[in-house]
Amino acid sequence: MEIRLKVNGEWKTIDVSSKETLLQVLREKLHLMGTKEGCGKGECGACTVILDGRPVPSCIVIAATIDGSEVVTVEGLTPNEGLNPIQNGLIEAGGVQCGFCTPGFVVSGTDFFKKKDKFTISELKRALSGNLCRCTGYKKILDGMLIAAKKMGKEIKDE
Amino acid sequence: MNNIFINVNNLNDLLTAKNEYGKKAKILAGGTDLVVRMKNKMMDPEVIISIRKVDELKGIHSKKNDLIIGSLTTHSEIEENSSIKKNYYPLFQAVYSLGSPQIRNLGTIGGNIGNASPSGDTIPPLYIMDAKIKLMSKNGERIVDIKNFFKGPGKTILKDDEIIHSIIIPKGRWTKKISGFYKVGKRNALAIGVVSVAWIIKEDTIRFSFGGVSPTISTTEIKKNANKKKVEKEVLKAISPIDDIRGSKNYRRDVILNIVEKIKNDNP
Repeated sequence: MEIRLKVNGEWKTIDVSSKETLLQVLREKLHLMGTKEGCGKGECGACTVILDGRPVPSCIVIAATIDGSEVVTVEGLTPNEGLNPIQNGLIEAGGVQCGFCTPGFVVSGTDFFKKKDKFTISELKRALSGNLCRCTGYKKILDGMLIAAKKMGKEIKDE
Repeated sequence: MNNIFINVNNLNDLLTAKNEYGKKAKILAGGTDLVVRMKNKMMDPEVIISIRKVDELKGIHSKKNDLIIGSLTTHSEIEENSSIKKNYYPLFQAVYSLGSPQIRNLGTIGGNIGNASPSGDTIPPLYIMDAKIKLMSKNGERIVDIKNFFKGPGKTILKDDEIIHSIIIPKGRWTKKISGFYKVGKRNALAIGVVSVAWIIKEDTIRFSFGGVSPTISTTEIKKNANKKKVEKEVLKAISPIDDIRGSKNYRRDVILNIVEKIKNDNP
């Protein structure tokens, strides 16, 4: 069946089968390779995209169910020139090792800071709790997010 | 299998589709359970009815005597509702600790109930708040007590042509001071609860409901001044834990007893 999706600001008409996931559509039909498949069952966060304003695991969203929706992937969060503050923060802090989980973290982190000007560290950690990383031990990812927060003028509140 | 896939856009179309396809059709709401099962080849429904666009089933509404939660309301939307956080605290805590941010953004309360998992996080809070469930079909509607809705793991009284319309909670003031929800799992995010407990204090009694320790949710009431032996007797009468992949029968029993004891001690 045919669906229409607004992907990174641009409307696309895509032919999908009844079982095809949003992740498959993004990678295989729209060739947006930033979004990764990790566990394939909604548990690791590598495939996180923003669907109608909220981060979701695209590997368990059936594309046919979201006709007319708006999707933002990591490509859509990256400026044409250079990188966004979170991507730069992760690089500066050494928060990228194998890099497979990174797009998911960038999406979750960007969404968090988009919605919050003041935040506590535990709120930030909770917003990232659906993203798994098997390399960094998370400390450097968190450091990277905090570097980005500072650059974006966000304020850390006491717990 | 070549599934028939139907997108319905409103409640009437949904009821018509469910009436037509009955048992063959599975309802796809958030998909956090159904899609995972389909991908694992544990399930391959002949007909999939996607209800994502059915606005009549969404949202939280305050009526004179009841709080109504549409079955398609996501866990995130429940978590963000200030009235639920203030006055329906056990439910707030249950959705707060459910899944992960991404899962809470997709998963719905109707799906959590409809799956009828003994570990469904939202169910113990709904039990102690005496919630009712409104079921609907092309031929009418009925309202049932949540306690009569579940028949066993994965089994409910839902008829082939029926859908879960909404959850009705009688108005109450179950605040942080007098109620709560406690879950023990392997880790904080994304772990299915091994056991869960929702509790409410009513004068000299604490009402408990337990998840993960019996085929459906179990409940008991314990006097605040009951001694340890009496508490143990009452709790063990209510539960029938089993060994499974997430924990042993004995572990479940001990954890439940410890949580009950802790809640009792915290609320003298």
